[in-house]
Amino acid sequence: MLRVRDDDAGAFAELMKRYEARLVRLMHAIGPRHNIAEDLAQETFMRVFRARKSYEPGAKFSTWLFTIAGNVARNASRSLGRRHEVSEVDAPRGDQSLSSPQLLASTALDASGLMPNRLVEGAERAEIVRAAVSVLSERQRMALMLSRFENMSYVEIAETMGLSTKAVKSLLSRARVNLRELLQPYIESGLIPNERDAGDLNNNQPDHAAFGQEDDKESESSV
Amino acid sequence: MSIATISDEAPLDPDDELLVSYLDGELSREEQSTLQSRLLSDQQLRRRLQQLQSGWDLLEELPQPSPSFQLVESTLELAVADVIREQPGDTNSWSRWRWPMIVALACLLGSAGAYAVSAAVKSNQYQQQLNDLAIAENLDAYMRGKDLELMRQLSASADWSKMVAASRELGDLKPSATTSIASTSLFEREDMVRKLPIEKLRQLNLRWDRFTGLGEAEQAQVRRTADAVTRQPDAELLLQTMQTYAVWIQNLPTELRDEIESADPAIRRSAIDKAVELTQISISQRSTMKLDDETINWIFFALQQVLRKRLQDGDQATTAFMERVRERMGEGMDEKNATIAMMVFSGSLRGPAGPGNSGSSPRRRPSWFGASPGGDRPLPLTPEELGTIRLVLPDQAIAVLDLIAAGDPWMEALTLRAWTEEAVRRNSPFNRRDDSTWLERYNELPASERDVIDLLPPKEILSELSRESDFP
Repeated sequence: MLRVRDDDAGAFAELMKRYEARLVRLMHAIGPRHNIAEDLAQETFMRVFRARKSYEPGAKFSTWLFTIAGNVARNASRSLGRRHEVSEVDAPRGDQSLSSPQLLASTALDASGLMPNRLVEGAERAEIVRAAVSVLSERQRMALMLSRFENMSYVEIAETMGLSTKAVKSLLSRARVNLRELLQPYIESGLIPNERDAGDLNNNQPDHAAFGQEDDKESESSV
Repeated sequence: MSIATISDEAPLDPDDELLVSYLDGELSREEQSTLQSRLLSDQQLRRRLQQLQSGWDLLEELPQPSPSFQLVESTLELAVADVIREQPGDTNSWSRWRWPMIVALACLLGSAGAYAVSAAVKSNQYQQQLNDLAIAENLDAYMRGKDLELMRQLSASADWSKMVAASRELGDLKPSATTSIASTSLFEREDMVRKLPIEKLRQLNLRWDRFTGLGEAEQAQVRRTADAVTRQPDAELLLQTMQTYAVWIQNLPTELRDEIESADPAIRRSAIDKAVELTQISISQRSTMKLDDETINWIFFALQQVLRKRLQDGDQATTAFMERVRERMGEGMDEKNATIAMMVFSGSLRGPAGPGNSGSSPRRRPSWFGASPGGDRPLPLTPEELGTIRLVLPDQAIAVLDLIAAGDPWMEALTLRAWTEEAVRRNSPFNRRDDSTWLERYNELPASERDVIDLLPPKEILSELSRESDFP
């Protein structure tokens, strides 16, 4: 980022290549609509570029980037919300014909046992998980994504989101409990296989680090 | 149905909060240890922990977007436009950015192109591997059955079809291809392979290793054969024949196999006829293993009746032989059983001119249908006597016989002779079949005989070991 600050265009391209996919995934989760995730990622990069001169060398770049991403997503939600109020049109989130709550409610019929049991396919399973995430509050989604996919600690998430560590802890707890409540019926009914063996305490040891992307953390400030 | 979730401000169960911190690795060592003690004793708490973790694990299902060079490229263009717009009069600033931006864009386009080419190559390679997997699944069929005309002739041959049906009744000639990758679309193959039971996966893996171990020319040849098969109107039937042929031919003697694969159609045709007959003989002999004690008793009873009839009719050879046995062996020897054994085995193929030892077709040997072996021995069983034996067979045995013979009198006689031999063997005082296993019999053999047996095909080994312990 220091090279970007010093107007190194190649470094900026390198930076985007490194973070682009992760940022788009985050925007899919925290943005107001799926079909604008790439636009929001681009907007985030442009804000980073425009603010390059104000970058402090001591700050961790990913924390800075995701803070900006959170702001961009929040602004987009507000902006779309205002348009929604004006037009009174309930535009669905994403390209699907069903909104996330509608999707969960309809597929929950399967999970409730009212429908014949079947194992959902990969894409459908992903859609159920995505729908479950999207009904969480915006801040829960953000904290969840940073914890799960960016391997950030409570302190780093707190710094990114401008919250206290305690608040992050509460957000993540609520997010996880909500996910459990939303997805457990699918797991129990067998619609979604439970990949984790039950009963073994060792299986439940904190495994946060396993999901990390340590290689991405290296030498961020030297870019 | 409403979807209720806990809002950011709603109170939360302290245990849930504790469990989440534990899963996130945010508890102190002391807190962790206290919680673990609780988890050991509290099943409900363990369950809550598992459920929290399951939901967390499922986040893995969220799709991972693939890198978008277009996004990076268009953002760079926007950045350049931004720089120009910000400082329209400052040519130094633009000139400072212009070349780096152009170079970065060029690099980006280059890497995007390389990525696209590499992705296309990888995708093509992967598609090719998925294609090859279906070929590897039937590798033996494609390698051994590459002469499609021959395969077509076989599938149209009544003798071949009868032989295959009879073999399958005995559990033989079953194609070893146990998956159906070829009939699964390319898109679903990966998923299908992932779901295969470990045993089938191992088998497929072995075949895949064999296929990839072939030279490029051989692989290309196998691919050409597979491709040619799929283009045939009778592709499915053809592949089934090829699978059966591949299993069948590997159990034939080497010289016969070479003749079948000969380029000369006449040699090939003759070798196939011979091989089919050999297999039929083998089927009739192995069918003895399916005979239960009741059938064996009936056959032996019928043999006793045949002997009695011969004696009543004054058959000189039989009477003289029985007399000789009585004189030479003395009292205590059952001369009737010895005479029955001679009647049965004098027509046997298990002489020096048995299968695999004779260059000519066994079907053409006259001794099969009752010609005299010469000298003072009893005549082999005649077709009429075999007919008598058939009459006493239980229904179940008749059904097996009909399936093996499929209306062919030669095959029926062959099978009945094998069954009479088995009946004599099981009624022999020397029969040890029930006492020892094949492995025990093998271990009892002298080393030199074991060496000979080791070189035989598996089915012949069993046949040889059965023979070793039977009637002397």
